[in-house]
Amino acid sequence: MTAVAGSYVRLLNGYFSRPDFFREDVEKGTIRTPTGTRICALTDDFLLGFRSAVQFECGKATDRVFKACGKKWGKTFVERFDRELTDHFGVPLTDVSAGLVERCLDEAFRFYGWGKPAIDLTDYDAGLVAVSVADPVMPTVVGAADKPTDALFAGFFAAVFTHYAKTDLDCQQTDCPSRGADASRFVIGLAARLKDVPKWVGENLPHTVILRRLKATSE
Amino acid sequence: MPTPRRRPWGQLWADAPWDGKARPPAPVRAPLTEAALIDTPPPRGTLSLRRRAWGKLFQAVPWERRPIVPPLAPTMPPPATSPDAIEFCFTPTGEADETSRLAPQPLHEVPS
Repeated sequence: MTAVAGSYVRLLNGYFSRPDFFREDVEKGTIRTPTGTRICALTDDFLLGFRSAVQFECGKATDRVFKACGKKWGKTFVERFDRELTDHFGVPLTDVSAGLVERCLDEAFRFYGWGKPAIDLTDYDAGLVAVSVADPVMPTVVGAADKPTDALFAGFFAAVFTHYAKTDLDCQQTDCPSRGADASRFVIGLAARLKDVPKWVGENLPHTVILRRLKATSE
Repeated sequence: MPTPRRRPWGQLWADAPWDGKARPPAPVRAPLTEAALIDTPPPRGTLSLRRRAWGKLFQAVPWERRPIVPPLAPTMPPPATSPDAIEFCFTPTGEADETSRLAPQPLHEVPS
């Protein structure tokens, strides 16, 4: 591959890290992406305050509220992700190889400061997909807690993979840095198959054991 | 049978056996990986301010209140006004550290 005179050569898969991705309008005080989506930067203090406010208002329903928020967020994200990358590659995103799209998803997460995701397809043939997020936002700012604190991302992943699977999927968090794990871990599948996961998480079963149980119940 | 990551992204998720029951393997289409690999450079003047040379950054400041950033390219759709179009970017407070929160550097970039 040779450099173009007066320019540079860049592989096309670097959509989110393209140098002109942030478009700052100093006079208006705004930052937008190349497609006009406005970027809103939130601090840790804001997130903590927001979480405390939701806990105060919603009490025991806090996780359900965050999961519902995550679903709405994930739905808008995946529609935009699909549209922007389809434009970027010039072919429908669903026709691009899964490895490349996974890499773009990884890049989007790191670009937006959401953590570092990894999709585990080991149990794909059993109809289960595991996702982990290292350095996740919410557990990192919340700190130690007696239960998983990433309901927002559980809703987010449920919406994202529902979009691609074209069937309603659920996502349950199985591991959380707030409880000492090295990453947030999630399992994605049909809601009926995941219904016992919250109970197992409450019993402090590790992620691998929960996956094994899920596989065993479906065989 | 290609590994899951060699399948097209859409087929990977649409064909998964979500009910956990084994099914005969579906014919797998080859993914489209032949999309052009070389991107066109961004138009001049659209680089992020922080990627400009430090000296030029301040030389180029429109101290007389002229617009500092060129307007978005005319082919671009108008900025979205729906609240759904806002994306959130989480920034840790305090000192920045070398974590995944930092925006990645451009990949595979070869200066001319």
